[in-house]
Amino acid sequence: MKLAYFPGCKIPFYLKDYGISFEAIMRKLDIELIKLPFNCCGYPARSKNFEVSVLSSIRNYALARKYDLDIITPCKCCFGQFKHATYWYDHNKDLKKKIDSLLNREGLFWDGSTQIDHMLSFFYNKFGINEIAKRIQKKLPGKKIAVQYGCHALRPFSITGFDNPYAPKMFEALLDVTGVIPVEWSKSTECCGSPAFDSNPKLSFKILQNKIKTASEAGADYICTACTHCQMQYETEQFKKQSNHHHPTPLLFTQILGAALGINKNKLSEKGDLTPILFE
Amino acid sequence: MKCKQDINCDLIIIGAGFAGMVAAARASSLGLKTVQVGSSSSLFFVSGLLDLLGVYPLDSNETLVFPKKGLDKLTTDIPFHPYSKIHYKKIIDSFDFLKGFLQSGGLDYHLSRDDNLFVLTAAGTIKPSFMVPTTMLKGCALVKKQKKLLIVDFKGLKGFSAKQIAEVLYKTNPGTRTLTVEIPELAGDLNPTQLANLFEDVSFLKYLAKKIKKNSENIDLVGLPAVCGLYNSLEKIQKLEKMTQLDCFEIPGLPPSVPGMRLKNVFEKKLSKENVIFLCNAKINSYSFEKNQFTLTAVTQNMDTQIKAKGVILASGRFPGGGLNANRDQIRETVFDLPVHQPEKRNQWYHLNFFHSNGHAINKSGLETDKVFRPVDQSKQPKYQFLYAVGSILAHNDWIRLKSGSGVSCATACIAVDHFNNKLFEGAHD
Amino acid sequence: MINIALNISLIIFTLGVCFQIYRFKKYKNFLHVETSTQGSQKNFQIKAFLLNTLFQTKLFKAGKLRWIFHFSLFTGFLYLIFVHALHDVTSLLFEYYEPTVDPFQFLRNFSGVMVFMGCIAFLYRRVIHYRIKHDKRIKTKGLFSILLILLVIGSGFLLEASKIISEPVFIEMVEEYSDIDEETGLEDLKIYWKEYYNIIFSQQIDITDKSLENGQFLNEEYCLSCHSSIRSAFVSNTFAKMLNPIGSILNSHRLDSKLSIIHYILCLLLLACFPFSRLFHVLLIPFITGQKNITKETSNTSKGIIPSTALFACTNCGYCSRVCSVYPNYQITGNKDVLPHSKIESVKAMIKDVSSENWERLYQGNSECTMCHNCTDICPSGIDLQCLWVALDTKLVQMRHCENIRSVKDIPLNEWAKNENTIESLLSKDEMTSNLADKAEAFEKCVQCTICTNVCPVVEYNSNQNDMTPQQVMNLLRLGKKHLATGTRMVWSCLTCYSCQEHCPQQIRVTDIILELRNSGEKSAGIINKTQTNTEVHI
Repeated sequence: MKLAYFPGCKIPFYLKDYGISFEAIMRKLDIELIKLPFNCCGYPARSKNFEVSVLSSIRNYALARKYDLDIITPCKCCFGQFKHATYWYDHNKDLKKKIDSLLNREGLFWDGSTQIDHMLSFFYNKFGINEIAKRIQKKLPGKKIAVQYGCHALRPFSITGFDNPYAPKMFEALLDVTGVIPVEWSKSTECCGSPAFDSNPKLSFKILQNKIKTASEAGADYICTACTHCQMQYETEQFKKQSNHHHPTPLLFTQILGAALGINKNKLSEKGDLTPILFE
Repeated sequence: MKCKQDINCDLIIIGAGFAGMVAAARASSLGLKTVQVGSSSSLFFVSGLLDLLGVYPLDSNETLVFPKKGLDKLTTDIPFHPYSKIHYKKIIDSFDFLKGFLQSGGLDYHLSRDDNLFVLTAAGTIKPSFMVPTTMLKGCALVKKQKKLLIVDFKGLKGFSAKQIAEVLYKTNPGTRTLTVEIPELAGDLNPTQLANLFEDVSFLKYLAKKIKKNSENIDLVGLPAVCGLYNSLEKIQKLEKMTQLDCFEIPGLPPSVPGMRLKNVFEKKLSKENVIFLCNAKINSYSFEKNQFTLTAVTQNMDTQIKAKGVILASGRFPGGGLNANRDQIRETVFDLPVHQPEKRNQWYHLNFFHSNGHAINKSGLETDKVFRPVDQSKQPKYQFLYAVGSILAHNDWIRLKSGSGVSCATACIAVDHFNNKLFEGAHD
Repeated sequence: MINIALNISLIIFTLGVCFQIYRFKKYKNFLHVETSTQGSQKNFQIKAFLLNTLFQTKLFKAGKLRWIFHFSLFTGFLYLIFVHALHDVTSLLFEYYEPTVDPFQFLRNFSGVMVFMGCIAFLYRRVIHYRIKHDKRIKTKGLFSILLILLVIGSGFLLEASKIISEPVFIEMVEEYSDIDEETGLEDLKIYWKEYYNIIFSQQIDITDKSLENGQFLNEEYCLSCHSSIRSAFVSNTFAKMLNPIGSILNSHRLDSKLSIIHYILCLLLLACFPFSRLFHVLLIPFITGQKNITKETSNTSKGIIPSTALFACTNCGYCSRVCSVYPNYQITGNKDVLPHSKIESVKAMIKDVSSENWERLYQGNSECTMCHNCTDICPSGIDLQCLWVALDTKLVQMRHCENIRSVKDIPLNEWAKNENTIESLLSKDEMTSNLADKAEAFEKCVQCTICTNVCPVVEYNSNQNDMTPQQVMNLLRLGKKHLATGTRMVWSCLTCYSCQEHCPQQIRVTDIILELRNSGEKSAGIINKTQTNTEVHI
């Protein structure tokens, strides 16, 4: 199986661990990731320039089309943006024309035949939970995990078609096979606060604090994310400095799954310093 | 460019309002593979009270104490009313089923046996209802029990005024006291959900209890707006009771309604757990029927889903939800274009007097059905064997005035799903 | 005299290098931002330094073809400097060194060809890929150096050719290194040399087999140890043959000595111009390749220094812009300052003269950067571009540029509302939007049920600072107050979590509308910014 790998702009420099662990698990699952010269998905530009944000995603689709590959991404913001762009590209005739002519200059085009999937929905819908369960080499100790769903893949369902937006269960189902125990967390589908990090840092931090507090109250030892921005938000330095008691540690889904698939912890993070608990 | 997917199922439920949710709950409990299509936001407008029958006849000046009495009369007077097709016991059974379902989701309801429960509302009025959240129970039958009441409101929470309630209750409970609680961190307008989220915090409960205790001299009963938490509300009320050493109860109010949200949350969570496929905000675009199977296309902005189902439950609601559509001179049913029972002429839709005692003809418009709630045509035969219509889309039910909305929705949903389930397993065609 | 010229060039060279260092330091101080730089680490990467300096590994990763041409130019030039120009050193190392001895003769010609190929490839690319560059500032960069190098190479080949054909030089050589004269076979030697070494004699000489044989014998005795077959000087030899018709005239004018001076002067010119031209990258790139100024931990808080040395190591190769993640932004907006290779030129222009323009385009372009690290990864010069963009942003903000969002936030809502009419007239109507906020169908069904407000996290957590709730923003639209709506805090604090849009019972696309209001507000604020910054005096 071959897929075009879309890491997004933040993984290479800001969250290398996610890229490393994602590539490691894909390798283990015998899925070949092809690296194409993608550009930014257009999500940061969405607030400033509508045309730029749509062109950005469609250009990536067109690049993948050139090689006849579907796209997979571990970032939910990127996934959501691609999906929105698909809708606007279809429904705004003038924009479609403009984008098509810009793509044409580079010898590119998109006819809708290549699609994008997020890592979670790919595993759940296309690859199959049973397939993953078969390859689990080590059941992880039953630590309690609070699941951060991530807004941009979940809502609006009309655009993303990712999971039930009010009562999603894909993430928990995927974690179940690894041996960890997802807890009932009322704020699971609420925003992590990352989008306000630049424009309203106080708000962003307040939301983050509340999320961590409620996750802790729900009994979680860890918070699991499957989105670059969510993870970066939970890892915010500021928070680490200010908290003075134990709070749930943010972990990447790829690291949890990687550990369960039997991948060496050195291959799952840059410094090889993953929480030892996962590897007991 | 649009993504396409195919789903095969036993039953598709068009509508995610109250009737649709009950139908989905019933279907999944019977083990049917179910797909649900619609918007569940209407549950925000639900007070949380589930009525069976509150008023009959419409021009009587009192509310019913025993719904069964009213039902007996109604069955004779309005043979085409949905209730006229249902045995009283079945209505109670359907409520019972719902109660069990909600309880397993952590939401506690009290189901009356025979008599209506008289619930204090945010307007200070008393409303008859039949199945009531346990958190509201202690506020029932205030007049009878001669309790000394303290009503608490929150500064900034719109649509709920303790003073107003006390004023309206003056005749029956003259000694009612009021207390306004201010929340220092939150100046300005308060939303019900904000307040509800505060109740998750133990320190807030303590703060509230302290304030109540200070004002609790000679009080036996405390009434609060129905905002006591989105989850485990009964537990929170009980905690509050422990802290204040007083009985506490919730008072249902205006939308957006927290008890409605509780219902929504439980339905969504439980149905998802039981693998009901929910296509949120999807609309049915087209349908066809071939070889005893319905093929419907559910459409969202980016995806077309083709659903093959053996049975269809149409729980699409009335005008706000889009199940019925009214233009200048006609009312149409929007999915299957089924014949809609309606006044012959446009000027017969409404009386000139908004408060006319018999209500308005348009509110009694809707789909006419057979005994098992399959929509019928002029020949009084069901158009399709396994197409059912349930809930507020049904004709002859002026649910606002009769106070019969939840009962009709709940009962018709259960009966329709049961019928489908039985016929499916029989394999018989009638 | 030659020594004096050499010394002068060396002095100019040294002074030039010192001057550049001084200039970099000056820029560094000029651009230093007042906060602490303790966050930035400098750990020198030796392996990267060696590999990139000697083998241009980064360029190899970026583009193989370009690397081939550059490497050939590089190795050719190195050879020519260290073996040919510094022939005193070479002759110490190799006792038998003579410029006319193989392999040195061959290698010199070969290096000359390699350098020539590299230069031609550069010129070719500059002409063909003008489309990508189309930045006037870059158009002529590096051309002087390349042309100078070509002149040096060209004059070198011509010099060698002129020496090959030179009769006077032949006579001088014979007198100095042998005792052959007319009687002892000079004619034979001449014949041999005319035949096999392409000398052009002014007088006609008859060639016989006997004399050739004798000439060969004499050649082996006296000349061969220092003069390998002329064929190995394949380029100069070819020129020499071409000069055949006019050879005697050239010889009589001693072209060889004239060219010798010209060639030497050109080389000294190259040396003197070294610190002031593109050639300086030869020293700069090794200097900065090993450095890494910025890490993930420091990038969010880094108030770093713009590494001005690094700026001048840029060779305008354009690879950074090829891999730039926000290239589509450039495609739509046409703002060249979105692309790294243009941005860096703008920074240089800004450093030279900060008051030459208002830098708004540079600010806008740079704020599109997603810090994806692509440009930094590929830069063959090893410049830490990401550090540069971070520091640039800090500097521009210090110069009172600000994101439109901030300028909107700073204006009280009633002030913002006042410029409704002026903004309306200045907004361009042909930019495409999601087309919701102007169309009544998008929001007229709103019944103000407040469900969106109740599920909004911004309202929940921020209620004391938020001015409007989502449903109030929708209501502003229903009231025809779109411009006012674009200035509300709600629009700019929105998390775009889509809860409101998902829950709306009337299926109003609340979040999409808010995003469109942002796009619209962005433009209005841009117009206000432009009018404001034009009237301000910069630091």
